[in-house]
Amino acid sequence: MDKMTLTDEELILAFQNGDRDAFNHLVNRYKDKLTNFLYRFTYDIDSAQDLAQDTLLKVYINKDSYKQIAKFSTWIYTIASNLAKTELRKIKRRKTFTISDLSTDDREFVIHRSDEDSFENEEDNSVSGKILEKCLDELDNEFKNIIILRDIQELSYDEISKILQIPLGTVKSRINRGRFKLKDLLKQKGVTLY
Amino acid sequence: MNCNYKDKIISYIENDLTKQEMAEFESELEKNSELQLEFNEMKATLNSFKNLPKIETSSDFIVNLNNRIDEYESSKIKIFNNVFGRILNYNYLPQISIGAVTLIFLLAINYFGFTNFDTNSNTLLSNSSEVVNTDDSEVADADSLDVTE
Repeated sequence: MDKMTLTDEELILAFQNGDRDAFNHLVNRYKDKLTNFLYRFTYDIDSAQDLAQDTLLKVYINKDSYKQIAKFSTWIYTIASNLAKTELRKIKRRKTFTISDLSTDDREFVIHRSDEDSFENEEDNSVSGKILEKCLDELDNEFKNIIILRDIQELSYDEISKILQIPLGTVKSRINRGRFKLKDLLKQKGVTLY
Repeated sequence: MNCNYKDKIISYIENDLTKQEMAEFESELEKNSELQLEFNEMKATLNSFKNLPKIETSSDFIVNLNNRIDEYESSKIKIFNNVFGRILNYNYLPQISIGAVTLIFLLAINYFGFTNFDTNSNTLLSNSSEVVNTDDSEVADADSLDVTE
């Protein structure tokens, strides 16, 4: 049987029945998607890859806790999203610790992510990936997560509602508000939107 | 600008409006320059996601993942060996043997003891029913005596 044609749900079922090759197919399908998703939280390729591996390892270890009632993508993104939240908390704690450890003079030299690169050198004012990343990073987490899931990972509203465990109506309104906030941020950075 | 129309910009882009709502929105869009601006800006914002750099995993991603899976599998075997290895360690063998024999002995007593008790209790029960029967027959006899009287 050609595994390329199987759905994610059929592959995880085969893996639950002991087919290790089915797991390898799932890894190939999700490794880039997960790394891209996690990169939007960490902004570090290495830690995004580590988290993607953590996610896939959790799938391997807890394969039997997946039930066929849910979509596989919902399950795997829920795992990844939880890992991302934990990682963000760790990064926040680390940042607080490092900065509070510095003397007042040293603190003046701390470069914030948004100040790292100036937009003045950009060749044109259209939305570059870099600017968009920075604006996304400036959004509140509740909007950031949901926009990443919808507009970058292209998941359905229903899937997002299940992953974030919030009602469908809240998902829709939060996505709308988040997009308008993002648009305003882009405009504040001097980006011409056309 | 009418807030209702602003709220409908995304629904319109995502084809999430009814036919009538769509027609209303389009006619408003034609005459409302402020709405046009908002609409175009939102479309550009959504299109900008295509400009995000795609991150690809490194070539050793799968190798590293498989190493971690192997580590997990071998740690599972280690835990199993640690638990059962300690139990089956020669140092504990006499204690384990004595424990096993005692357990078998207790189980045997338990089994045979209760079996005997059951047999005894059955005998006791059958005897008591005989006694009851005897009593009944005596009562019957007494009644019959009364009748004849």
